[in-house]
Amino acid sequence: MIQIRKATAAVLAFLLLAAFMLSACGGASYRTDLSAYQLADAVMQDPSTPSEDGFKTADTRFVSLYLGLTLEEGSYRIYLTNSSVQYDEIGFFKCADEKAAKDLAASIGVYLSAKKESDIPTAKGYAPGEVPKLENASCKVYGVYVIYTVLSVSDARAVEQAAEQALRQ
Amino acid sequence: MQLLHKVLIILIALLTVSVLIASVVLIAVTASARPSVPSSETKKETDGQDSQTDTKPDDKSQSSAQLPPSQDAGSSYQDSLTFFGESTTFHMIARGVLSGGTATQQVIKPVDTTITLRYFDKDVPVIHPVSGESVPFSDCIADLKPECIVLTFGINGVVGNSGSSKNVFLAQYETLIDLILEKSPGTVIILQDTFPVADVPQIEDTFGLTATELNQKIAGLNESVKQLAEQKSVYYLHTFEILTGPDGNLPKSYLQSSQDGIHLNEEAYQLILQYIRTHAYPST
Repeated sequence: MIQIRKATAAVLAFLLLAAFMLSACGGASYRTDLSAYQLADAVMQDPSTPSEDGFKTADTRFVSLYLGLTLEEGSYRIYLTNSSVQYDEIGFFKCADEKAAKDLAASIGVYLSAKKESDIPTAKGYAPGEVPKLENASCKVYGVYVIYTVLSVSDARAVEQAAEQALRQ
Repeated sequence: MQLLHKVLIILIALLTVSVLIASVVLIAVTASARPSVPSSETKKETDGQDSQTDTKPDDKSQSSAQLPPSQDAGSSYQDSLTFFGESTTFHMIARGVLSGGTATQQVIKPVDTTITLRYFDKDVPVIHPVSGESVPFSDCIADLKPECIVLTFGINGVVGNSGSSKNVFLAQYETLIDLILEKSPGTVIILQDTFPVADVPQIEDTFGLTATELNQKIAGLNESVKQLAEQKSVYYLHTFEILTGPDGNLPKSYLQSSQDGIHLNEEAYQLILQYIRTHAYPST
């Protein structure tokens, strides 16, 4: 009798573990109700992320010329550093659906590669401290949202954590 | 009577054929005498300039914007020029090669360490060459109203400028040209070549390319700049041609620092200034 109970307990534990692992494979679930502006505000107002004071916001010319994209006004907010010898950038985008978000992320990946190709040699000569930011440039998808950063490792991590906090359901 | 009638008809026919033949001959002669030079080139012609004897007739790289060889326009011409560009331009201040030496008023220098055209905007802070104050570039140009400005951009971000980001580079250059013309409509604009680099180890460390490979990219970029000059009806200076040695690279003897591969010494700048004076834009 005791052996049957032990066996039953083991089977139940296994089933619970399997159920837990299967649910984890489904991936994170993110909100979809925030606008790009609301997401940007939530992240940039987090005390751990870079201050907005050091940035200006990009216009439609930047989006079309540098990113090679045509985006609806209000669907993005991009921060560009005010300094001509720093390379900090943070971009927030909201897409219609997850597929569109992945496609946008691919386009931003192309932009970041071009930026690295252009800017790393110049940075090596004039601002070697900026090279890690360029090398660390990355783009992440959060459901229908896309965020890219050209930041120091610590600042990028802070933006990522603030984004997760703002978007995770 | 019938005979007279026939003679008259024959005479009229002969006359008609003669007129037709004469018309054809006249049209053919007129067409061969018409000049083949495009009209856009005629505004660049001037007295006193050498004819284009240095240019091969079939030289496909020559353009209407490119300043051809001229007589040395002298120090007054050189003193009338304002220069704006990356470090290879504002290092002319430190080398003391212009009038006023290290206190020259001919160079617009960025406030920051350098300037990259990719990130240029009208408010980029520069040092006003006369007042010495930090001002937005657009205000500087509006106040200065230079007679002629020589622009040299390309080496900062050169790999991208000549490749994946060429459209950005050229669009930004166009924005700069348009801004200058808006703030100072009478200013003559000259786009100068990006200078070549020397074959030193730091080039490959910095750019991931050999000097030869990088200079090939620079040559391609300069070709794009020449086309932009044609498109915008401004002038173009092919300075690259006097800065390359037989191997296609910048001679190391022109370097300020033997390790750098990019920045020039006084001798190189004197050569560049001589080239500028002997490729002067025509006065109106």
